[in-house]
Amino acid sequence: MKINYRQLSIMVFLSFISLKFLALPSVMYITSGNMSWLVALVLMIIDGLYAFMLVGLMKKCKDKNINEFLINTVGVVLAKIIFILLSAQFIIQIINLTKGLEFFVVENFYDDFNWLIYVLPLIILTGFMMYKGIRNIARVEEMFCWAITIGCIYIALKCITCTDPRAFLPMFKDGVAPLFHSAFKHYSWFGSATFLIMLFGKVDFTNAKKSVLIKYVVFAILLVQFLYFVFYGLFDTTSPTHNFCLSDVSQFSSNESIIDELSWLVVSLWVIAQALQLAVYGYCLVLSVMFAFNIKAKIPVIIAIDLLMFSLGYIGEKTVNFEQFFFNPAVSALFIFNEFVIPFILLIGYGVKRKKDRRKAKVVEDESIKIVV
Amino acid sequence: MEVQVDKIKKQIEKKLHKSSDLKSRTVQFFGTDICIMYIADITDNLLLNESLIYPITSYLKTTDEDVYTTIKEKVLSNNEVGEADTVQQAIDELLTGKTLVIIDGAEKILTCDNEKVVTRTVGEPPTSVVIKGPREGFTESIKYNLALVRRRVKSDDLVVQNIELGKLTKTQISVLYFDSVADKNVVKKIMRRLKNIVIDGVIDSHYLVSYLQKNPKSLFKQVGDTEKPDILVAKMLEGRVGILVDGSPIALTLPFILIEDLQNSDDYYSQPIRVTFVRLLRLIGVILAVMLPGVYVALELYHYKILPTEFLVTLMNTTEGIPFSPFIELFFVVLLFEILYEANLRMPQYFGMAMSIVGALILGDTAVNAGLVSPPAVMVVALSGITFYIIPSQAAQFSILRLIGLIIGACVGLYGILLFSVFIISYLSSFDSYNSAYLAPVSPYIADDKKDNFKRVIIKEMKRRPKSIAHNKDNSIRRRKDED
Amino acid sequence: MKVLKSLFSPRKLLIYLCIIIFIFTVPQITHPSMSEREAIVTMLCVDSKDDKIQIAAIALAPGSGKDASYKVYLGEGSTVGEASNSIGVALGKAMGYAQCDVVAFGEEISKNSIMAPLDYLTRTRKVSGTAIIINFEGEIDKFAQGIASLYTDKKLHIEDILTYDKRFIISKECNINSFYRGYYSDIAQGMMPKLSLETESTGNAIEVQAGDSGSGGGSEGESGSGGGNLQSSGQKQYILNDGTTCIFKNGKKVYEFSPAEANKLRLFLVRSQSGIITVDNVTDSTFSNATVVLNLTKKDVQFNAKFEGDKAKFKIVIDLDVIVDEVKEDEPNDRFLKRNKEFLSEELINKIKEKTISDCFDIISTCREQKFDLMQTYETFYRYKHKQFKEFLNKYGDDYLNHIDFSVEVKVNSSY
Repeated sequence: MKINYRQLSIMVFLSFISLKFLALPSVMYITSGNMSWLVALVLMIIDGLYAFMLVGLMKKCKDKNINEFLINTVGVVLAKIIFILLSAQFIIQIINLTKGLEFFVVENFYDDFNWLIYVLPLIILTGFMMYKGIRNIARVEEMFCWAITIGCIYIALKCITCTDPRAFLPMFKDGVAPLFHSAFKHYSWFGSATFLIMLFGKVDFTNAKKSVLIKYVVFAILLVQFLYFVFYGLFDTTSPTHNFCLSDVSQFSSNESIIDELSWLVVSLWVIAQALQLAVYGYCLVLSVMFAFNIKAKIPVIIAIDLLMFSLGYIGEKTVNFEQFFFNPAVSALFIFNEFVIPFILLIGYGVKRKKDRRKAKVVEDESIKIVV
Repeated sequence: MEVQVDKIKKQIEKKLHKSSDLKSRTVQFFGTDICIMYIADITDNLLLNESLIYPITSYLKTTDEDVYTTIKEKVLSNNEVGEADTVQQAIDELLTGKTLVIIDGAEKILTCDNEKVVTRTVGEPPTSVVIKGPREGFTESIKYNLALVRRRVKSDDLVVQNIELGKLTKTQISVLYFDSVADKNVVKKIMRRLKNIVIDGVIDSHYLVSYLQKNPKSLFKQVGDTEKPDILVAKMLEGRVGILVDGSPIALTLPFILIEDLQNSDDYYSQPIRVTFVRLLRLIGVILAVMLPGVYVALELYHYKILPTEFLVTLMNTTEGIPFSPFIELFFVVLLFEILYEANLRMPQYFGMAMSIVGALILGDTAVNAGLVSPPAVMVVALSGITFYIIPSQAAQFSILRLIGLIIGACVGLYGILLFSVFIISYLSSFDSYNSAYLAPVSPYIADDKKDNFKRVIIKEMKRRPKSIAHNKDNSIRRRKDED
Repeated sequence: MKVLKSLFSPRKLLIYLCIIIFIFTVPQITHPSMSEREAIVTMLCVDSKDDKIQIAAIALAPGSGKDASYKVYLGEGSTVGEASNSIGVALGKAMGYAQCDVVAFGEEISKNSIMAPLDYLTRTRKVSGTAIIINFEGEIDKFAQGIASLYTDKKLHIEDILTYDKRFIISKECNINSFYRGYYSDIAQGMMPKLSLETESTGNAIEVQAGDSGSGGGSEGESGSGGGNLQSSGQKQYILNDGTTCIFKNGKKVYEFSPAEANKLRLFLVRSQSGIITVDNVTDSTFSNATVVLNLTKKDVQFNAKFEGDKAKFKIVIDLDVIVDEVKEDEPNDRFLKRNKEFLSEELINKIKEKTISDCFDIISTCREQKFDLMQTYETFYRYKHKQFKEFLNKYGDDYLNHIDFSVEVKVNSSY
């Protein structure tokens, strides 16, 4: 049940854009002002490089899944620790997506919102997709990817004439310190390529064109930048009051006094993008939990994750301030560790293993020569 | 086995419970008793007389050879003369319309083909009417159906493999494919599945469907079907395997992918631009058919703010005073539509028209005038109902999906409908069978097949067989460049 | 274990969840449509009187065919939310503001601050950011009824009146989004057009028969205050849209531009691309002592900010495409045979320039007096000369406009 390289690239693309069009541009503006686009750009480029590196490693380890790969290279203990760290990241990403989607749905779709009606269909859908596996998720993403992308471009293009490019001036008015601060503070919205670690051994690279992934990553970065340009250009100093980038941009038009119906369709499509990304993170979480705790059965883990989504919304809402939770330095630190340290552990582990294998092969070769002699 | 006419005749009569249509006639051939047995209604009397009874009774030459060999090789003028080693084998042949020639003292029983084929004439099937293109449709006779296929394919590459299914009906099943085109693994898989079928009778080809599909309980169609030989041959040319069942005018094709139903035989006989437009219309039709009532109810119950004010005014004015909630109202209209459809389908043709008038005009109009339902509700269901038949072969599925969509729209609103659509796609994505992805060539995307998916290029440009359908990889090219 | 496993198979889990959803949503599916559960407000008027907030909601009421009828509901409370609630309680319906595309603020509340009601409407009640905001003069109930009857009888909507020519009117700039953008900028200012209910017809007035059957009357509202039948008094009412424009600073109304001033103000507005320029006493080869009315077909405005030493200099470059529209002259001559381009003599162009520059400086001096910045001076200096402007602001504070050298350059072109 492998996915092809194009499907992998589409998954990366959707993962890159999924969390970026909700609250992120609005909350980033508070810290980094009109230079927020630069913060997003740099962090997305880092994500992109990370994605290329992981895909490169993925190709090298061929059919081995990440569990086998890690056990062979870094050992069981370190492998378990890595899985636990990754699980924590996936849980946070799931919470972020679920809460983001919840606010988006409440704000855009319902006046009397019933939380159960929001969460139960989502649990059914994501649970089903997690159960069906990565190929299923990849295919559905492939199906909706272009509709979602064209929708985003349409929304941005519709309002581009109203944007004021002067909103991006003056540049670096408070120096670069706020940008670093913003990058650290909002890191939990990035780390979009980490899920690739869980896809080791699940990608079929036959007939894969190298340029496909590059194209999709570049396209994702450009799309995010384009929408941010329109968003900041439209709302400028009022950006922090616009919590839903995509829907707020779609509803902004000084030339129309009624809500544009087509925009609604596009905004609706965004719900699909979020749900699909939730399924991806859910699937990765299932795998990492299974590997971390040596669980063989998939269904109990899926049920547990669905229950987690359910309980986080129901109980967590009253006890945890989610908005502050995502700005917590510990959360950012976890994401940064996972994105910067884990790949290097993988790389080093892979290098050491390769050296060992070569040495072994050499010893065997020497011994066989001796025998021949 | 040593044949004794009286004994064998009695055995056969006993086995067939002295069935009234079992006929026999005993004649003498140079002193040897020969019994001719046949089943009256499925045997061609004229052929029987001319090729069997007359030659035996009028044969005058003497010969050194034994009677069995003389009759088999010199007397009988049938094109197909076979031998049965056992009585049971002879009975099986008798039941398929063959005539038994039981010769006293012989070791075997002779079987002659005098079958009378009772079937309707070849005509245009009602479910696949075309404006341009062949109008021939399959009949209930597998022989005729095979002939219709053979007439289109004058190639030694066409393979027909026959098997018999049904403990009681012993129905002939023919599996057809092009040897050089079809994927051998697919053929093997189909043959294996067919051979494993244990059933007392196969009345129609659809009896086989549940045995051939991966998810037999699923709502969605997983085996293709056609009533037209031109479509069957076209599908076989793409690598599919066809299955003909005696007694059924519907041929099954495998592997099946969803996009097949968006394509129509007409498409290949019309202008490509028009075809592309029509296929997009079909796609929109599918979405409208399934989602429209659900979306309408969702808008009415939860999201009126999406509607432009002018439209909302019209909606408010027309729905004012309706005693039911939007869901109940729509559910009622959908139910009414389904009842009318079902009644219309089963009703004798001369009632049909009257029924349509009663249903569509009188019932609908009266319900609106009585204030039971609103005009938009009737319009939404009617539009959705009409669009069902843009792809008639999927109408049954759409009808159920529409109902589910309606309930979800009422329960959860637009958000639910969006998730429902993802759920359907996700569900269908897991339907791969016979090495073909159900949603191909869209998901997984197969670039080479874009020439004939939602759009269609000119036939000259379709140089390769679609990759979405599993076929022999060594024979992917339909036409090489040097053949231009 | 086997029984447990079969009870929790994926298929069964799916069915259980579907049943749960259905159980939870059964009450919902039997609800009437949302348009029956909510009063669909298309315009909201807000004002205050004696420390109380008054609101008048113009809401859709079912009619016949595709024609809508509108009713006015009045409410009063210490906040907009309370006033809105009071209407909801009286009606037995929630107030739905999603279709509200115009919000009108009365004189009294405009002087106090419109930000609290605006925040309530956009954040809590989900009024779209594209809704137009206007200022109105007169009693809230009468104004609302006037508008309602305008909607019902004349099928004419406020947004149609205000935006009939998207290039011309100032109100295009005045939806909630743009007002917020101005408010949240450092100079915290915004503007909106003003409409008033007049008893005599003037200029751009649209006749309405306030208080007729279509308007519903104030008794629909909870408070039941006002909303008398104006027709019985024998007076005809008019909605007056003469171009009067209000300037808001920190959410409070601080100034009102007369129609003539508003016309001048348009010269600075980038989006306002058309208008009329009237020049008197034109004498050249074509005209003699004529009054020439020119139609502005296209306008391009550019702002240029720079510092020369300590001096801040601000240049406004206005590029006008004009066409001679109408000529008032004592003795007509053979000019009708001429092409438009030939009308634009050096003398006429100079006259247009003079007139435009003088109009611009009128507005600049008003802005200097009133301390609001409609020429985008702050914005341009802030964006392009940030550091120097910061120092400049530290030096002069609020009075910065009086220390900037303004210059206006006008270019005049013939339309064709």
